[in-house]
Amino acid sequence: MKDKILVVDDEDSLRMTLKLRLQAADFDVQVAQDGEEALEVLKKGSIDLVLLDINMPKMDGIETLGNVARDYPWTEIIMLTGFADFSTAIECLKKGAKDYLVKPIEMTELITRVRATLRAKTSERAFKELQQRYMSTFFHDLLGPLTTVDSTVEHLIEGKSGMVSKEQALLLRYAGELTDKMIQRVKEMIDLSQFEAGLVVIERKPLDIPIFAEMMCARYEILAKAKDIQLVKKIDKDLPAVNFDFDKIAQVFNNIFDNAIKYSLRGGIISITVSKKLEEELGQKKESIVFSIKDNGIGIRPDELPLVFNKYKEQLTSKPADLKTTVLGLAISRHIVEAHGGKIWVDSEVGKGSTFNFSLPVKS
Amino acid sequence: MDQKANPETVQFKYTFAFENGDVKVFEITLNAATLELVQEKDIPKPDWTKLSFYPCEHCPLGPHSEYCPVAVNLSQIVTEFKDSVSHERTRVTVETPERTYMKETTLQKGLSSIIGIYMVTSNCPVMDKLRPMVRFHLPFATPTETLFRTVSTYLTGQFLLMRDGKKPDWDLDKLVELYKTVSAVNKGMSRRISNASIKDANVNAVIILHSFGDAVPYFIENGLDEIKHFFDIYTKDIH
Repeated sequence: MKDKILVVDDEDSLRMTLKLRLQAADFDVQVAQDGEEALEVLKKGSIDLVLLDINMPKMDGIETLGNVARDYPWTEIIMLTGFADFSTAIECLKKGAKDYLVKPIEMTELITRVRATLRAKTSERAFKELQQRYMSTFFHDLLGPLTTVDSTVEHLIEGKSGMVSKEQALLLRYAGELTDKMIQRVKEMIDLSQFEAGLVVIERKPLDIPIFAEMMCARYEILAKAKDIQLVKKIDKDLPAVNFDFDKIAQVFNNIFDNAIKYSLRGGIISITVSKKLEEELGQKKESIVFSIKDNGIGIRPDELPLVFNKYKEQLTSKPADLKTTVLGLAISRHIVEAHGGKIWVDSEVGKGSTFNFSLPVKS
Repeated sequence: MDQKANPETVQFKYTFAFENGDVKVFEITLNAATLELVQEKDIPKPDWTKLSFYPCEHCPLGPHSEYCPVAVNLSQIVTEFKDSVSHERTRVTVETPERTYMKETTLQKGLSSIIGIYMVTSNCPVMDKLRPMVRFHLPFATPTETLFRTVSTYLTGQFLLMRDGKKPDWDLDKLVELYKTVSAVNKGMSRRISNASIKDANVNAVIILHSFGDAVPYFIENGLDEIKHFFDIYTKDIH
């Protein structure tokens, strides 16, 4: 199979000549005229290597590099620039670019660099896949004993192996809660490693969106009431059926809703909106169902917003210490939504709250 | 603007109009007989136009030449746009006595079009070989259009050689060789201009020219695949 290369340059004649020459060198080549278009192309299919110009309108090469390195860890990036600058080169390499070439570059040299980068990627990928398979097995091995501990604790609390004192029951319940948290975290790690290894199968079925949304909200009405939080629903009734994996999208909904409940103050309001929208992608309009869950909790700092869905980030500093537990859930949610061809994003203001949104394409 | 045709000159007037209201105008006059740029005497020659400043690989000019002729021709425009960004939007109007061209485009694209004229009209021994093309200058040409102009200009030259009883190069072998040296000049010039500019508009304009020049040997070696189908009417008759 041919290696797939994405050429990103705002100059059409450069895109055209690079495409022709790389195709002649037996690469499968796609082109994009700026960073935004490049991200749309990447979303649609796997790209092995991006040749990325730095100075472009809309989203420039440096910003695009950050997005690609974060969201597509298997895609290699070579930066191309007409204007050599040592500090920019260092910045690019620090952000994850594998090489930094100054234009004009002769095609023979460019092709040699591209092939060398792809060879290195193949070895690195084989190693990482091995590592991921090992981690997946490791977490599965961990889950078995943890589940046994959990059911044993439950068994003891219920007095099935003899009476326990009030104090012993209290301690056992505490142990049970901690075990539940560990099980939850291990399950998230399994989910994430399976997504990253490409082992997750999305089982799409046509489902009624309003019924699905009402079901999800019903689960949280009691929890919200317990915290004196008002739940406001605005679910459009005439939404088309959409093909999606019920369990996986329910997982996304739960991850977001858990956060909303957790970060809302007593007496707060959580609003759920489900509606049909027209989204623009590569100049074409497409219909999507957009789910928005808005809370009036503590909010997220602007510099931390791009990190919310990233599993590798440090814990967000704007969250109180006891609330720093949902990082993996959102990273998994991003994988799930993108596997459905949708988008997930957050709007937030510190002190005013956050709105988590995700969209599912009507035609997938 | 009406330009009166002067049979002794070839004229181009490039006007760059920017979104902030700035307008920059460049009037180019070539000697119609030699197609050399008609320059004012004593034009300022900045240090970066010296031949010793990032010289091109295999530059055929000897130590008796103090200045690079291509750089001298480019000095005014490079200075004018030294702190401009390549993707800045501009409306470029190109007026000749015969017609007017206009394009909303990026500065780098507009600059590559005018820089192409300056580069081949300077008496650089390498770039001189492309000079006949300037008479048929096509502003904002696509790579395909430039490929056609390149090959047709060269083949016209070979026909004239044949008529003079000399050996023509119908296989375009010497054109391939020529473009390898042109690429060296484009590369050298981009290094030179990059060191004479603060931002990337000038250098990217030369890079656009280089990307085409670097691809010419490839286009020819691949049998002009990109334009071959336009000539089916001829090739089908022959077969």
